[in-house]
Amino acid sequence: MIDRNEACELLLVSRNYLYQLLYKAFAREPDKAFLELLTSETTRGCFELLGVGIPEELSAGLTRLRGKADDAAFTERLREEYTRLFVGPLEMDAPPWESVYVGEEGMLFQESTLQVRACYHRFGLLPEEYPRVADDSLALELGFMAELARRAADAFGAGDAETLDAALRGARDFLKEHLLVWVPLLAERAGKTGTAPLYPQLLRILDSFLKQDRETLNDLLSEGVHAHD
Amino acid sequence: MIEDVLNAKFSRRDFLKGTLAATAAAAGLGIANGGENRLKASAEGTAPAGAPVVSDAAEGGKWVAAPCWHNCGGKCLVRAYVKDGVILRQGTDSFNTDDEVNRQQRACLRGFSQQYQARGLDRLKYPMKRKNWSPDNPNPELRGQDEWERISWDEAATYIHDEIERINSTYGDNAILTFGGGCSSLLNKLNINYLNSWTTSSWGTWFAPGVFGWGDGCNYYDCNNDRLDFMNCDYVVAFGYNPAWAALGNATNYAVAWKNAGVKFIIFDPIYTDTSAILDAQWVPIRPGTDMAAMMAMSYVLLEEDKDGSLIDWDFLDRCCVGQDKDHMPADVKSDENYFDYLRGEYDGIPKTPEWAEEITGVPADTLREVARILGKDNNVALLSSWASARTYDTEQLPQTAIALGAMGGHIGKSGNSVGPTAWNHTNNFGPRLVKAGSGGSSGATGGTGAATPICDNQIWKAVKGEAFNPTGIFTALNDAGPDGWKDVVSGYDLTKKVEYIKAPIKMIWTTNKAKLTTCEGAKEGVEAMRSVEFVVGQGHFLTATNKYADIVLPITTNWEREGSYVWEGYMNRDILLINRGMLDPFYESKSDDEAMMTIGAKFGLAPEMWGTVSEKQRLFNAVATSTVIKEDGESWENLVSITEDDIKEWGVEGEPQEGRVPIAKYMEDGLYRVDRHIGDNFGFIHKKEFRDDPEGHPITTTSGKIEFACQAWADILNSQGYSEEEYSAIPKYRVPTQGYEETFVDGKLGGEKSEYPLQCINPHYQRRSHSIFDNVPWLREACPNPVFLAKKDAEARGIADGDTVKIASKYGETLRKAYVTARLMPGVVGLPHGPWIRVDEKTGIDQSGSENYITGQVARGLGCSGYNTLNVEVSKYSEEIPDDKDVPQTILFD
Repeated sequence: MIDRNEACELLLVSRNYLYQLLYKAFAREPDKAFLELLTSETTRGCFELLGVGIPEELSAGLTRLRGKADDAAFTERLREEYTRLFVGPLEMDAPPWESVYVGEEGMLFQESTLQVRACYHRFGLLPEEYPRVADDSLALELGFMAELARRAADAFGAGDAETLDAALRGARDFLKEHLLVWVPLLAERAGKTGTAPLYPQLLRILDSFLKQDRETLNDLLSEGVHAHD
Repeated sequence: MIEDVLNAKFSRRDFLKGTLAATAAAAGLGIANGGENRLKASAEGTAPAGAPVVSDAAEGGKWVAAPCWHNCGGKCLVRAYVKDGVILRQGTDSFNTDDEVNRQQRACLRGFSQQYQARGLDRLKYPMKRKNWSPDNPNPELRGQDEWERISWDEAATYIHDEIERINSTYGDNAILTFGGGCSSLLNKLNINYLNSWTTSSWGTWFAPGVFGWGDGCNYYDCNNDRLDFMNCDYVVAFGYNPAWAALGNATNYAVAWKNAGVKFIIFDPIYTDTSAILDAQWVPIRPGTDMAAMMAMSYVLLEEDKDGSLIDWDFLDRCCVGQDKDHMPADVKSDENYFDYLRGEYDGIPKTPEWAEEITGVPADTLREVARILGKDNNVALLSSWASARTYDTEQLPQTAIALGAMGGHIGKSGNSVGPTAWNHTNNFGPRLVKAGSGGSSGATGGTGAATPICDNQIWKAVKGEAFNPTGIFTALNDAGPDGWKDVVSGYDLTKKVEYIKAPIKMIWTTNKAKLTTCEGAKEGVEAMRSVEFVVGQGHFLTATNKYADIVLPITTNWEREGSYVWEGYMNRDILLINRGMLDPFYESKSDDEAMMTIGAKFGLAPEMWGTVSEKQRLFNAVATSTVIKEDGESWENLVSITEDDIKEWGVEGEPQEGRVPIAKYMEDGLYRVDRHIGDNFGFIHKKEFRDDPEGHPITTTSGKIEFACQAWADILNSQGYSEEEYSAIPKYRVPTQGYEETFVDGKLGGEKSEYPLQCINPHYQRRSHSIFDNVPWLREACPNPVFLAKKDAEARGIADGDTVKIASKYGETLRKAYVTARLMPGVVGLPHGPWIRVDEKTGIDQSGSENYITGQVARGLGCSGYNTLNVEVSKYSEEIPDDKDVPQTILFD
């Protein structure tokens, strides 16, 4: 049996891993190393531990993907899909920026960009390519969550209750104010893109994960989780 | 959830071990291609951790100037409230006074869309390569329908370097065809000779009126009287005059002031335009491309009905004109034909009567007689011809015909009278500038020997396919040189010989700041041509219709992201001087054209200093510091801006303090200085007044020094350097236009059987766009749906209802639009708005965007005039419905 504190640790470690993974899923072109991690038992185990319900067809899809990590032609197809969805220059079916969904103007660098930048700033962070890039891209917002998840897990290990609490609260607020406002819309739009084999499905998983993480964070915060000593 | 974990049946130790290993692996996955997806420690340090997330975003910004730098002619002020790289809102001229004499320079719906240029979702962010293009296996047929992949600037520069080197060493001169000047600096420094396309574009055959001693409304602002003097007219008689759609803004406001002063407007146009409506004009519906016939017939009426100078200003003709009759022939003419005898039918047996013209123009003979009488000498009349009617093939002598008609009534060189072309580049405001931009001084750039051979737009696609073309540069040089410089240009050519056509081994196309698949005739052939060469590079802000067919596209910064510059004053209202100041950092990986060329040049070993050693900021400062504004006396000038030591420090440049009209900081923040006018001020201007008063003492710049009804120079230029086989005479003669009204009949027989393409298509400027610019803006797509305008009668005859999807077909191509059925259009005429980005259905070969140039052809006639405003078409109901443009993706989708 594990105690409550150990259970909290498992939750913190799991969500840290999944944020690192999902951040990279949208921050780079897919390759074999990524596909192996995505379809690994560890990934499945962490989703399960966190109570993220992965629908049957997505779960089956992930299993199928596992067999294709070595298929160079398939991986190439996924790269095309990534480019088409997230890079351009052709019309992006599901533009991965918050401002597009919040502002409805079809533009980057909107008011939401400033709000997101302010959130990063509060944790001493800034986009590496600031100010040339829009701060509220999916990859950067997940990068921010990944960093907060890492800080929370590390703080737990280091017994730094103040940092842990700040990282959990920051993550909870950022989810509420930002990611959960627009990722469902993004996932819905991406879901209409037809034959794409990976990213629309991955966005559905991300959507489920983020919603569940809100519950996890609430649980952890109401538990008053205390750090290891 | 914690409860669930407590009950988990697994080894905590194993779980942790596995997860921590996977976490390390995930964290170790690298991010290629730049760091835009990474966060770093904020230089400002850490704010209190966990502080509540609140929005304080909308405060603390700054107003900056971003005037409209596009080419509609309005040239209005746009200001932007910017905070930390985010444009929070836009504004315009709200600080100047606003009345009929002095208007605020307010922006239109396009100006208020400026921010989309900077922040549009579809802006190019990175260099991109067409996926199935490689140097060894270019798969050219996939251009426009391939997948893309992101590459680095270094990879892009290497590819472009290698291809230039290969193509240049294999094929030599003229193997590279360029659209726009964004790459010319590099080719010049590499000593590579290349082709650069030119076009008469908007000007039509008003492209070189300097030969007639006239400026035109774009390069030369002194081709008509001052706008306040127009209030002294009794009438404005105008051809194709529609600033309400072409430029919006003050071009129309100024004309409204004339109307309110009692001026009556008579407007010849196939459309009852918003301009005609707002000016309460007498609308004279006229078939497209037939204005020359109407002008000739009105000149005929003046001759026929004049009784001892009741209509014609014989004194003016005698003193100031040549070529009108046998007693006033210029010395250099090679034939004794004169214009009046031509009108009377002495040479071809056809008197140019109103009845003759009625059959061509569709204007009742009586109407032509009435308007001709108005053009008689006792009325104060401005006769204005917009460029629209000259965007017709075979109208090279239209400018001459228009000037002759105005000269007969003596409407030149006196108050309340004016004869010339109008366009909206000067906002309908003529005369020398009242506030002038200064000079930035030398950039210190060094050049090479690579030079451009000019090639006319109307021959580019055929030249790509290997056909011979006319390499003359005379027409663009004439357009640049204007009235004062045309003789120098001509002296560089042997006009006794017919220009020799050449062929070029075109293997590479480089498109920069010209949208050739949108604005150049024969886009369907253009797509084939772009798919036939070995390498295509595009650079720009968006994946435009032309960039879409490239192998490599490079992201380029907008003016929003550069140091700042004067909006070209050559296009600007004489009362104002606009300036913009870059206020945003470059968007993602975009570079300026010069920076892009430096990056590629580095692969050839060229030093960046070759593109200049003086900073852009220093040059901007120099230009502002040396700008001048006219004083109240109308003669002396003073500095526009005052500059203090503190200003110089703040700019971080070298300079001297100076006195001036406004502080430099205020001018830069406003983005606009306006010279205020009042009736009777010293800034008035009467076009050719000195000439009229004393033609011998103040000759105009024609060969004879007078207005030439017979102009041998123009005929010689056309006959030697032009694109037509048939000879031009010194006097203007009516020519049946290629793709004109006559060709809507079988064998061109007027009134006979209608041909396969019985309707005439024109291309009104449209509020959504400034030419091709802004077509991708979602707001404007929603506000301006871009239908095809059909005359009620024509629609009914074809069973077409408002909103139906229709196909507009010519002998060159087909396009689809939704029909807007209206009684404001003359029957027989189709209005297809100018400038959409082509969107071709690869299965049917039909364009979906309503592109006017997808259905025009490569036709080279006369001076190489672009004749897209007059095209013969048929319209039919289409079997499938097309979506509204606002619901269409900004660029193509894959199947």
